[in-house]
Amino acid sequence: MNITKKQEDQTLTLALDGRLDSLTAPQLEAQLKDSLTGIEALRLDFSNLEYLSSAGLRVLLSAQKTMMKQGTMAIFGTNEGIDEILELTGLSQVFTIEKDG
Amino acid sequence: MKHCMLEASLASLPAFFSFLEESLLEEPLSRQELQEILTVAEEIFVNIASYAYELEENPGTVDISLEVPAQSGRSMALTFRDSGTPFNPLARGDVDTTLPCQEREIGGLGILMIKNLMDAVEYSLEDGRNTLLLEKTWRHSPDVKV
Repeated sequence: MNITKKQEDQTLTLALDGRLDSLTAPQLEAQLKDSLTGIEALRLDFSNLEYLSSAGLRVLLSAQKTMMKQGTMAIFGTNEGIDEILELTGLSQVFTIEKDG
Repeated sequence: MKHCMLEASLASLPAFFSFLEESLLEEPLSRQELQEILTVAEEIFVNIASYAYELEENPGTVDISLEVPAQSGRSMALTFRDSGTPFNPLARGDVDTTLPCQEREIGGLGILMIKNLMDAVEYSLEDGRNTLLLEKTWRHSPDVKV
């Protein structure tokens, strides 16, 4: 998985490319740990994310908890498979998921 | 019937995904159904890799067999076997998905996915080996392949 990082003022956008699974979730966790200080808006771009497992959900949930204390977190660009996982686990109600049009 | 035997460790995960993807390539299932299978298979594989041989010095192996198509045609039967500590991963209670974020415990989400994304899941202890059988039938039409 590749993570592309873009920061404008207090808004951090992370674009994930590939698979967020048990092997790559620690990579995102480390990236978030290093980057969230002072961030008020975290935006996660899933346009090129193929696959998300519960190890990934765990990291997202932890990011959500951090961001609730200091600002907002939004996810966008999810594919159908990922939507289904979020729906099934009830996390679509917990996360802010932006859909185009 | 397709088989693969892998070391029960996280490092085997890419090889395991390749085995599944290659074995399912010719099957008439949708991209979404493939994702559902990979998601559930990862849960189980990681669970075995993390806990089955926890009490032993060396990592053991996990034996995977995949029957495609299974008896009913548009379906698969995927079986995991390991010789680790006897453990039924399905015995845990379901999570309450209506709880707010702070009160949510993530651990049970894997079990919830397994039960919801498969048509049948069955655990048994056969000759001292943990045996977990998953069944799934394809319902969606396959994506148009270019």
